[in-house]
Amino acid sequence: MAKFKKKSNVSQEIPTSALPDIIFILLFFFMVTTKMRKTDPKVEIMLPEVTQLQELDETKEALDVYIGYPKDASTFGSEPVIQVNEKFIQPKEIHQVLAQTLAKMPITRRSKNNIIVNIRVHEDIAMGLVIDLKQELRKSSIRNVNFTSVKKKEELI
Amino acid sequence: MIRIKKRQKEEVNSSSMADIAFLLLIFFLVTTTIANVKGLRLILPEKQEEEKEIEQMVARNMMEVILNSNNNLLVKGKPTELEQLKEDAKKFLNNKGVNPELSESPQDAIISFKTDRGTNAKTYIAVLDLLKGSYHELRAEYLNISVDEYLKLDPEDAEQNALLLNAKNEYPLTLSEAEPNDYKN
Repeated sequence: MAKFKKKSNVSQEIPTSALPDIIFILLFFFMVTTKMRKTDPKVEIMLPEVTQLQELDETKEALDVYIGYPKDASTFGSEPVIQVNEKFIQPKEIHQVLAQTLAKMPITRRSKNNIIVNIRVHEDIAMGLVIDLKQELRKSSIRNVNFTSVKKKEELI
Repeated sequence: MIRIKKRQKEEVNSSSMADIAFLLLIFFLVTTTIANVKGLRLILPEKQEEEKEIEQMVARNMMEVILNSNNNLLVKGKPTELEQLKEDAKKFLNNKGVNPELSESPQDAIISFKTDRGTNAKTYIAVLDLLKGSYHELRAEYLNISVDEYLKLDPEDAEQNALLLNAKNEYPLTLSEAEPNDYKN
């Protein structure tokens, strides 16, 4: 009888005191690894699909440019616009933005070759705006451009 | 009465801690988007020199690709389908002097890509993708690796960079984006 009594004394709970720690570690992992987006796109973007995807050169300072239709069409109209750093700009105004980007870079790396202009373009717009932007970039000797795109899905037959 | 009080464990109830942490975790999982920084790299031509270079070119070394505002493709003056472009470009680049109408060597070959202001961005990117693809395929073939492996070569790794430079030397990417016609003048 004594034996039975002892058994009933053993607690049958799984210790859960370490659970918050595990979850916190997961949480910290996600907080550290995720990067916050610098700008909040105010334009509608649908990225084109390509096959020859390459990673963006991380050693270069990226300048994000969005070209697409404004989300708020009642205020900004329905024509495609260029957005840089939360602002809508004309292609000619890119020079100012580039000068600012250049000024922010550490002095040892301050070179136009170390800037990469990362263009996110809506696939339905006409090339006019993109061509204008490229011509302006050429004028200020910024030559590295990246068209952000997504991987083309294999076509099912 | 005093005895009973002493026996009670003085512990903060931490069972809801896990729930709080879970909520935070889920919040971060939902709000963060994985940054998509993959794309098509492009190096723009320099300011002025380009036009002079093209004048000196031998006609057979230049493949002219024109994309008009109706998204129709014209390769060397002939209307071409998008599907055919990659094969044409590869034949042109890898001719090595065999066919008198195509390029003398991959080093001399230039692809001139002209776009209209009214061209659809999707088609432009698609053509750019095909043209880059033809270079990448030739380079990958030259290095005896698959195209996917070629695209993953890391220029910061010395060994892989040597491979990259080797392939780039054999098939230099000379994609000239001619200035669009200015209709104002």
